Amino acid sequence: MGPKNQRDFADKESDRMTTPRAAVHIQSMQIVHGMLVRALTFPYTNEQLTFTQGSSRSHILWLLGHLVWAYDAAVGASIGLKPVLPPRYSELFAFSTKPSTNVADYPPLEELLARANECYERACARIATLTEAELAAPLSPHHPLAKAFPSLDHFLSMGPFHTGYHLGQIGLLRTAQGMPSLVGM
Amino acid sequence: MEATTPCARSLAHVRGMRMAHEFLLGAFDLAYAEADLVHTAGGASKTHVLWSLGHLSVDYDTVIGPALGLEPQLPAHLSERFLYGTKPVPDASLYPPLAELRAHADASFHRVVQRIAAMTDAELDAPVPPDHPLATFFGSMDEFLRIVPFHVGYHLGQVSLLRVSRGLPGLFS
Repeated sequence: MGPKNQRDFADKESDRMTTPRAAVHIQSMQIVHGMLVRALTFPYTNEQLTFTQGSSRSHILWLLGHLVWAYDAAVGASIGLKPVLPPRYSELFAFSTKPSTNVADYPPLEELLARANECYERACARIATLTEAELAAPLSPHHPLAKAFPSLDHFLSMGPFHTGYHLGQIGLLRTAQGMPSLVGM
Repeated sequence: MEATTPCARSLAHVRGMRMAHEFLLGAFDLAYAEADLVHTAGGASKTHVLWSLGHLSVDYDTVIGPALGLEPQLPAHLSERFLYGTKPVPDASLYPPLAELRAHADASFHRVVQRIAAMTDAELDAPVPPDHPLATFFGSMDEFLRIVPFHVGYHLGQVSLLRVSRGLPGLFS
């Protein structure tokens, strides 16, 4: 894993002090990223990864990929980072994509984990350099969620909620199959 | 009495919590049949919508508030139904109505964020009070508060999945 706290990121990026609000975002991301990593490193069977509930088509593999995609396409894009994930990730994991029941349609968990760490570390390094003015500015009009949030600060505040939302679903799909929920909730 | 100045970090916490709380209220306001409220995912999972929403409604008062020095105000029977470790039961008649839980959630939320909005940097850097049940999990009040939007999201994600599994719209459908 990369730097362990916001000071490490700030030291790497520049001499500019990380603002208190940026530090809250980074530290919140650290907590939820640790939980995502735990969810990505469990030894699932293919059946466990694609298990669904009733009318819902969401499964653990899609939910994990969606969270990785969100680091790059939603968070990264909001802070001016160019996407690093292959276009295939958007086709598989963007909002409103339909989960496939064929595990072979998806990247392996090891790849998702490596991509998650890469995108998370890039995002934290960039957030550590954001000024108060940049945090208070609106999202780029090209960002798919520009109309939903009045500022970058608002958008980043929703990151832990979004990760929690899908990890809660993963937890439910896990306990329904007899696995521990992973985060103890 | 010494005046306190709200700090940027406390306001950042309030912002994240406020947005998560709006989603919680939105979940309360959806339509549910009684069977939807106590439906579970099966297997070892006992969680249902009614327990999840009740759990979040008492969390502000009985978990977050005491860490901030606020005395719990909700009736004790709610904690017995919804706190960590309580087992959801598949009988909606054993729980308060959703409207009552929603009112508790909203009142408790406003009490808590009013306190958080006034926190200083020193208060955020202080440890969680040692008699708090989650004191050993977090290094500071700042760390403790950072988990709140995640926790709300975690349970609302489950509410949404339980709804969709029964053919109902999800929270963001």
